Amino acid sequence: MSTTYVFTVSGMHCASCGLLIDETLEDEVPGVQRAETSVRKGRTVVTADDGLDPAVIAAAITAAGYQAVHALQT
Amino acid sequence: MHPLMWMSCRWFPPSCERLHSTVSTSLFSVLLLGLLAGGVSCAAVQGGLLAGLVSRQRQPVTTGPSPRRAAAVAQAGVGDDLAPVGGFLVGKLASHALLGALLGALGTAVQLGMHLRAMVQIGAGLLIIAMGLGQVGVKAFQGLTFTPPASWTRLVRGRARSQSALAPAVLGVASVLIPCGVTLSVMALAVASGSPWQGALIMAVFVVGTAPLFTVLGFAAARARRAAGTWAKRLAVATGVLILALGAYTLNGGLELSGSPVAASQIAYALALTGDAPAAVTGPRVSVEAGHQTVIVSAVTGAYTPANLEVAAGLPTTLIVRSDKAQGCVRSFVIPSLNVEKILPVNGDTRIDLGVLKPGPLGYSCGMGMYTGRLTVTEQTS
Repeated sequence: MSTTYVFTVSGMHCASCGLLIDETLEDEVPGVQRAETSVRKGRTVVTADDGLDPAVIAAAITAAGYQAVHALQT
Repeated sequence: MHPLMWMSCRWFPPSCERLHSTVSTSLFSVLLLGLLAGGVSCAAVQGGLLAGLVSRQRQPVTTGPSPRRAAAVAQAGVGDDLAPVGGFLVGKLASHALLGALLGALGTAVQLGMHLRAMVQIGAGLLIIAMGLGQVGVKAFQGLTFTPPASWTRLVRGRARSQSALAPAVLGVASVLIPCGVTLSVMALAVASGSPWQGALIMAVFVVGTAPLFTVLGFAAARARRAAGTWAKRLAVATGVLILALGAYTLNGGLELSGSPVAASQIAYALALTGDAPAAVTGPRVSVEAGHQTVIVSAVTGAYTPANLEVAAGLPTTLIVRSDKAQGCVRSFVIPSLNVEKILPVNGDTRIDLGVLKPGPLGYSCGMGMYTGRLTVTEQTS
């Protein structure tokens, strides 16, 4: 089973930033299945294994150079 | 002649005439912009994408997400790093130069008329200033980014996952699809240049400029990206300031071309900053013979002299522009209000029939609006 997390992300200035966040999350955070970032909406939607701490995901986005706030979980 | 200009004339002779006009000023600003932007903006972020590609290629058999990616990259030597960076930059250079040529050609197509050229340049200048404001952190302008269609970003992402040895170069080519504000500003400059060659050169010089910091901060620091924190912020602001300057410069060029009263030279006249009082009517530069007035203005490299000449209204008048070892922009001579546009020789006279002059200022400038002068037409009391 998987959970969908929504993060509000700021500090992205172009499409490359969104790509980088998706790449980083899918490659470097164990448990993340899929990440989709919209630069225009300033939002990252992450599909991950159940039980993954959203703070870990937020930390990975922060480490990539952006500010992330966990907004929603479904 | 400037070395860069010399090279471009040597490589692309047809472009020479136009290149003389702006190359020395804007190409250097663009190079400087690239040098700064290589450490911030999309250039740096693309370094992260490239680093991801390289690390995936080095551990191709892992399945699923790999937390060890950073460690794998760290084991690679410096030489191993430079090959993909070089490939990426070559690919990026090719696609951006090609796009620059297309944008320049577009500029040529819409700039056939002088007034349209002024409008294009004013538009480009305003766009660049807006990008610059976003870059220095003005919130209202930060949303002003180009959002590529999802299919484009998917395409770039697919390139970043390729296992091919050419993948870095292909990713470089594809990076043209996801430009950020800084790159968009340079694209606007390419359009404003109004020449395919110059457009290509502007974009190429920008990409070359990004190379050093892209390599150091973008790619290498992708492993320890946090280290770049404060530095990145300063670079971003410096980049923004430079974009603003380029934008203001481009905008002013457009205003000068259109003969606008808010162009820098006009404001300088209004504030009497130029200190160039109208020359005496009896001077040898203005002569009247058999009811026909002749005015002589000299064109030297970087200026028209005198910057302001007083001439008589109501007489049929011929303007002689006397070139004296004139190089560069001054050779493209424009009188916006009369729709006159001439290419001056390096040495020698160019005669322009002005017709019967009406009282008031008659401004002229070079084709790009960098150098200006005026005739002050006054009623003769005698």
